[in-house]
Order: sequence, then C-alpha cells, then structure tokens
Amino acid sequence: MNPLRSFLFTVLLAAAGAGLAATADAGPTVTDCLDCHGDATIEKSFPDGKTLSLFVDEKEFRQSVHGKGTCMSCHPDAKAPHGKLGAVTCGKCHPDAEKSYSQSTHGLVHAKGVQDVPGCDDCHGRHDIRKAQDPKGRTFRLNVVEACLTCHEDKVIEERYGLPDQKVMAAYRESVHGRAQKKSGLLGAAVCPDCHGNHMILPGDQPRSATHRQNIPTLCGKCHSGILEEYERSVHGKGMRAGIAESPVCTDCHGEHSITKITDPESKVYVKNIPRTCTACHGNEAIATRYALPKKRFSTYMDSFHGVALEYGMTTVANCASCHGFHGILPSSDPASSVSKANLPKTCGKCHPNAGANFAKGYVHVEVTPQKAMGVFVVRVFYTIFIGTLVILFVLHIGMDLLGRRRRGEPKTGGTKE
Amino acid sequence: MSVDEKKNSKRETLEQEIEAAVAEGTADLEPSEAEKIREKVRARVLEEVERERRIRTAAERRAEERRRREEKRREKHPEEGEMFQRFNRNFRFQHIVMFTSVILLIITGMPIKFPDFVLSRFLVNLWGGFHNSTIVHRIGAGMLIYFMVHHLFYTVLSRQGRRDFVLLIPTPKDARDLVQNIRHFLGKVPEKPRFGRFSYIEKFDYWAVYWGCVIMIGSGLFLWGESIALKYFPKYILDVAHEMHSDEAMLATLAIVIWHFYNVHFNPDRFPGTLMWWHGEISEHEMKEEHPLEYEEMMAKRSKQEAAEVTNR
Repeated sequence: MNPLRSFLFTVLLAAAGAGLAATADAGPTVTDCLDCHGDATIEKSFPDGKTLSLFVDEKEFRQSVHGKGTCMSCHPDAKAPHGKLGAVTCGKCHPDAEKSYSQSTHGLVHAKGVQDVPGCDDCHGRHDIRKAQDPKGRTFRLNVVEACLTCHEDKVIEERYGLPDQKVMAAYRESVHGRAQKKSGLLGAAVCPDCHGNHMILPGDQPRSATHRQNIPTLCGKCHSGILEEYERSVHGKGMRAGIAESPVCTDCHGEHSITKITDPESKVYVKNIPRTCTACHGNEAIATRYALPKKRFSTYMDSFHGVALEYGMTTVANCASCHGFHGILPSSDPASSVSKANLPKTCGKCHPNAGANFAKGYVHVEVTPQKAMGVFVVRVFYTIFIGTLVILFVLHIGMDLLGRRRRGEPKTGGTKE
Repeated sequence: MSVDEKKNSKRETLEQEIEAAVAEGTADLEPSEAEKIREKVRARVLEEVERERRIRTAAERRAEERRRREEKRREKHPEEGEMFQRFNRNFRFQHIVMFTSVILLIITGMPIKFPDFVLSRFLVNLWGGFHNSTIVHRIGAGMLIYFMVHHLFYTVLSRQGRRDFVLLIPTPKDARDLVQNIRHFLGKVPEKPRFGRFSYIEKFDYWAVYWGCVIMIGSGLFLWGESIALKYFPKYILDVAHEMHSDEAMLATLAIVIWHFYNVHFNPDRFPGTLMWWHGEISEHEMKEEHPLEYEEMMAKRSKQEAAEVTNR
C-alpha cells in the first residue's frame, strides 16, 4: 500500500468509525479495550481458585480476518467498565454457517447445552480467527486435522459420548491421506472436512450425511473421479445406485480412516488380503443366496495353487482382482467381463502366455462334484478308497507282525545281532 | 597275524632275496665296485616299489579297504558269517538319488497340499520363501526323472538289472508267502515263509515306486509345463492331473512312511536301520534269515563251480 492510499484508507476508516461511533453511542475503540486486555497478566479469579486469562494478543487480532473490525462487532455489550460479557453470536454475520451448524450433530448436541461439543471458536479460534486459505489458520487444510483430533482423539470424550474408538480416528494419521498431508504437505490430500463436511457434520448412519453409504462413491469421486466412472459401470456400482445396501462402496474394500496404499501389507486390498476382503461378502451365505451369486468362491480359490501360493506370500500369483478386475468388476455373464468365457483366454493369458481356448474348457474355481468336475471327482474318490484300504492293510500287516513277535517273546531290538 | 606283521615279513623275505642275488652277482668284484652296484640296485628297487604303489588302481584300494573292514567285522561278530553283496554300486546310487529327490519333493510338496499344517510354513521358509520352494521342488523332480531314466537303462542294459527285474515280477508264490506270513504272525504255523532274493514286501515297495513315478512324473510334467499342456489339452485335464499329483503324493508318502519305514527302520529286527543302502552288503546270517532261497541257490552255484574247477584241474 502506498502512503497516499494508506492515508486515505485511514481517513475513511476514521470517518466511518466516527460515523459509527456517532450513531452507536460512541463505543470504545480496539485501542481502548487493549488498554486493559493488552496486559498479558490480566486474569479473572474464580472462587474455586481457577483463573481465566483475559489477555488479547493485539498482534494476533490485527492479523486475524476480523482484525480490521472493532471489539464491539462481536462484543456489543463491552462498555468499560464491564462484567461478564454475553455470548458471541457469529451467526449475526455468518447466517449460513450458523444454520448448517445448528443442523449438524455438533449443533444439535450443543443446543442441548452440552459444553464439550465444539462451537465456532473451538475450531476457528477467537481473536485469532484466520481464513481457511491462510496457512496459519486453524482450519487451513494442513492444520484442520489436528483441530478435529483435539476432541476425537480424547479418550474421555470418546467414552462419554460413545464416539468411535480413538484409534479409528487416529488411524487417519497413518493412512495414505494422512501421510500425504502431514508428511508431504500435499494440499490435494483428503482431510476431515473433505469427507465429513465442515459445519454440517452428521454421523454416517444418517442418509443426509456426506459419509452415508449411498453417498460414499460420489464423495470419493470428488477427487478420484476416473475411478468413480469405472465403478459406476461395474456390477457393484450399478447395485449401489439401485439402492442395494449390500453392494460394496469404496470404503468396504479400502477402509475409511485407515486407508493405505494397496502396496501396504496392512491394506485390505493388498494382494495377499484381497481374497479375504472379497470373501467378506462373497462368502456370506445370506448375501450369496439373496443375489444368486456363485458359491464356494473362496474355498475353491484357496484349494487352487493360486490360493496356496498367495497364502505363502507369493504375490505374483493370481488373486481375485487379477482375473475379475477391481473397480470395474462385471459378472461373467456380461460379454464385456474379463471372466466371460470369450475373454478368459486373454485374461489368463496375462500370466500363461500360451493360454488359448483350452483355458475356457472347464472351471477356474473347481468345485469337486460329479456335475462340475467329473474327472477330478472320480480321481479323488478312487484315491480316497485306495489310500484308505492300503493304509488299513499296512497297519494290519505291521500290527500282526508286532503282535506275533511279542507272542513269540522275541527281543525288541537287535534281532540279528544277539 | 596282523596286517602290519604280514607286510613286514613279506618285505623281509623280499629284501633277503634281493640281497642274496646281489651278493651272488658281485662276488668276484672289488668291494667298492660291489657297493656301487648294490647302491644302484637299491635305487632301482625303491623306484619299482613307488611305481607299484602308484599303479594300484582305485578299485584295488577299495577291495583292500573292504577286506580290512570284513576282517574287523568278522572279529567282532563271528556269528554273522560271510558277507555277500546284495546291492551293487549302481543300484545303491539309484536308491540314493531317488530318496534324496523324494525327500525334497515331499518337504516342498506337502506344504502345498496342507498349508495349515504346523510345519508347513517352516518348511516353506526353509528355502527362503514359496518361490524358492517351488524351484527346489522342480530340482527334486529333475532328480526323480533322471532316476527313472537311469533305472530304465539299468533294467535293460545291465545284467544284474535284468536279473533283478525278472525276480521282482510278482508270482503266485508271493501270494502264498503272504498267507503263510500272516499265519506265522498269528501263530498258526511255526515257520516263516522262505523268501527268494526279493520278498513280497520288497516287491511291493519296488512296484509302488514304479507306479508312483509314472503317475507323479506324468501328472507333474503337465503342471510344470502348464502353458504348453494347455495348448493341447483343455483345462479340466489339468485339473485331473493336479488332483492325481496331489493324491498320489499322499499315497506315496504314506507308503514310504508306513510300509517302507516299518520294514527297514522300525521293524524290531532292523531298528533303527541298517547301512545296507550304503555298503550294499548282507551277512550270511541275515541271508539265511531273510532270503534263504537265494542263499541256497548261491551255495548250490558255488559248489557247482568248485566242482567244475576240480574237474578242470
């Protein structure tokens, strides 16, 4: 600001202030208030011995988003000398925020007079309020997580209000999003309000909540839009849009607060963990029956070489996603599916280069029944009987030999070396 | 007389003979000349001794070693009698290759069939992970295939191999032996069946391995070269091969652990096992006990040979 503009501004401000003062009974200026409240030692003592600092840091205030205003804007009843001031009502200037807040879970509880629940100041600060875009602001992207976690990582509060386990919330720090914003300082990384909203936070079980199941794909798609597109075309995406509650959304496979990269062994979609993640639904008898899904997918996979090798940590073998895809999964009945009969040679051919039409002759998930795999069934039955019979005969022969020796009173060892 | 004493006396006689010959040849020479010649002869003899020592072949040294061992054993267990060779070197080598490969195959294969078994993870990690374990399995497979080929050639090309193969073919006598053996176990008859070179127990072992090798190598090759196999066969044939490989492995393992291990290790006559697989020899006593027919045949052959030698003389 050049000196002239600065001068004009000051004059205008002074004039406005004078005008305001003239109409509003000439209240005290910021400087007036700071005569007392600028003293770092000023405090109020309560009968129970506690003290409350009444200090206002002028520098902080001047730099805040409200720094150009007066104390009276928020504290209209502050006339020297004064006692306890009335509550600050931010809604006077921020009616939209106030309205959203009053409908949020925080606002509803706050209305009941619960003091632990955050009001405006708990997140935004008081005299030092800054814009959300200001890197020093409490609600700046890279700072807001700590603001939320002051309460949501507090064991006492969590127990008192039956909030999710503190570990669930804290898991965010180690998640791919948490690390991206904390360690790498990436502004694109999702922070709490990106998913949960800011003023209008609601628990995930309420349909209006941004984190309700039905809203999750859209929510994640705000950033991961390419994947959302793929998901919408998949059988899971279509099911979800059709209102089928069991149809998986992003968080069912990836987790929520604890989302990690797929290369992290802890991730639910790490190669080794994929079969169990899919089985959570596909191994569920009720779901499989209700939607007529093929059964025994997990057990047949685990019986195969792929399943066993994966269990032992060989990550190059096929897991569910290697053949079925992941975001764009389609049922085998769909000609576009990677596991439709026509596409199987190509899909298997990713690893087995000579795979031709022969790959589609037979089942990949081999269920050993006469209807599905006669050959395997016959071999298995034959060997079961054969092995059983032989073992019985072995044991009989050996048993009779030993009993005979005992009866004849032969020495136990060293028969030939006596 | 010990070996050393024998050697010494032999050397002494030889020295005396040479000494005498030299003395005779140098009788009419001057003492200094005689000494020179004597020196020459001595050097020549030493040279000859050294050469003799060198040309003694490995086979001779082994034979010597065996003789010495035999003597020691005979002193220790005179009741065992003479030692006969039961398995030749080639046969022992085949057995070693086979059991090494089978052990490798079992410890790397069974964890695939039983991933939940307590030792499975340990056995897989023994090789540094599953991938390495599959490589070891293929090494074992290579050894078993080699063994199979070697044995087929042995059966066809070697005289002993051909003879043994014929003797291993099951005969009605084996069934009778089995019945008699069981009656003997039960105390119905006092005598054990009299076995020839191979009892029905050993024949079973042999043919079990034969059958096992054919199935395991056959189905294993399908799985090893799954990509090539799928060029010519539909996937359900591979599924059958997989099932056969898995079930036959179980059968083979149980046959080895129950049948073979009892008969060669846990059998009270043998516990904890003999070294026959290593030296291939069997004592006269054991021969009479376990293979009386073969023993008699051998003795008959020997007396016939001796008789022939006598007539030839």
